[in-house]
Amino acid sequence: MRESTRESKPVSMPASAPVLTPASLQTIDPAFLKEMRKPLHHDELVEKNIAHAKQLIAQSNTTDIIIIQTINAIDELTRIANTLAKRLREWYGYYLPELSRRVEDHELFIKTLLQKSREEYLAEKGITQSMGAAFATADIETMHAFAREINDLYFERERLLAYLETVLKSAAPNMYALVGAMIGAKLLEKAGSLRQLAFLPASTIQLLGAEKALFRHLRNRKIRPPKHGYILSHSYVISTKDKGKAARVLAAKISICAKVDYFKGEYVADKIKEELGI
Amino acid sequence: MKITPFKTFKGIHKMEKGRDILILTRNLTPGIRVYGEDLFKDEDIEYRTWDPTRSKLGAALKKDISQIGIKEGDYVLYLGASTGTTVSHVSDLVGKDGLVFALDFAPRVLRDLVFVAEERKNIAPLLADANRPETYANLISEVDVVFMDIAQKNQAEIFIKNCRLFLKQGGFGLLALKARSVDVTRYPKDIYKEIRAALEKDITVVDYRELDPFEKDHAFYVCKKK
Repeated sequence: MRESTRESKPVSMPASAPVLTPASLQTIDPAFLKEMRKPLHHDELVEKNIAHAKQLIAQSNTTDIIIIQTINAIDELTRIANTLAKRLREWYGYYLPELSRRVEDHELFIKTLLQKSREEYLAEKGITQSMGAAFATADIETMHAFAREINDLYFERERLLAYLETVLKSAAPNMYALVGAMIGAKLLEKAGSLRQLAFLPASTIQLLGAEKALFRHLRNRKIRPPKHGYILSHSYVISTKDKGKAARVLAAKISICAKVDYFKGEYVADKIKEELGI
Repeated sequence: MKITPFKTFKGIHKMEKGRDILILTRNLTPGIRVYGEDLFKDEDIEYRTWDPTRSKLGAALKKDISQIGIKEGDYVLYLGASTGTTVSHVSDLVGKDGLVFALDFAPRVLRDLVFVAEERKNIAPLLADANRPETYANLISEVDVVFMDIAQKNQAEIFIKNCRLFLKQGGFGLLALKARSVDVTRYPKDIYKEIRAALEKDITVVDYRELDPFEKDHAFYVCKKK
């Protein structure tokens, strides 16, 4: 009898009849619309609307867009820097395999590589026999130049992160204080704007960034729903044993902060952090 | 390379290329591409290929739709214009005496559309929410065709609202419906049926096509205002 799982089909929504109630709609004048249809207004309609659209587009730039572009740039920069760092590891591994083995962190790996020569490093670690092959000076210099470029990317990433922090701190001080720049900006990016984030229910904020898992669950109710999205990386959630519960509580608090920030209320993040015990 | 009229559609042409049949419209601005489409010349007339995988109207034509109701000189209200892929072909069809009111809600995509509008002189870009017609009613006119391609939960409602307000009597309403934005969890076929019933309360549904394989879970309705 395992076939009969179709019963959990969601309740069908009634095909809603369109409503035309708002009083503002009554002000639309059919005679005006008919008049504008005449060919003599053709060019006027085009020119007026192009000018109008240009004006509105120019006005649409907001702090939200700056935050979204910055966080996306950080994400992409991290991805690219890590890809290149992996390549460098592979490459440098033929020259000094012992370093890659000992230093897991990409950034630290590159910094060490640039600071110490092979001989210095091997002497420091007391390694007498290296598996590294003999490289000509030009070969080593090429790797070092490549490493410097990747190091610059990591530096740029730090710079963007610092910038993001200042922007978010002034745009959404409560959110920033509660979840920090990375999570705050990611939530804002996913919601689309601070306004949209402020209007989201806490349960949605809890799952922002877990869309794939959520929709997998919605299509097949046998698969359990996700408990957290981006907010999983917050220390409050990650350090609590019952992560689902912690995520729910934190999401509710983030929701409050987003609302306060959007409506420019008083600073409440300290009180909220106290309530959470962080 | 031989370019011939596409069925009975005025202004739409076709060309055989290998096994495939390409749909073409006459380029209103010769030499200019809008979205990287191929251009073909036949007897000094330039045509643009209409990519059915990127345009739902193009897909509907490929699926043998019987009528799209867009003629030369028509005024079209296009809701959900985006960057202007389909809009540019509609603009080709209506010609320089026609007009396309191309509406979209997102400033980012309308930015690209404004560039197209400036070249073509028959597109009026509007940055507005299709769900609030009162905000753009003073910027447009009565139209001969309403086309809608908006991924919103209440797409049918928005469509009917706009048809009521702006479509002339006997004018055509074209709706590209995305079942997944009405409800992801339900079967698209059920949604198509339900939407059809909702539409038929107000307007006559003349033709209907599912857009597979060009667009997954999309249906296309051709309606006529009573």
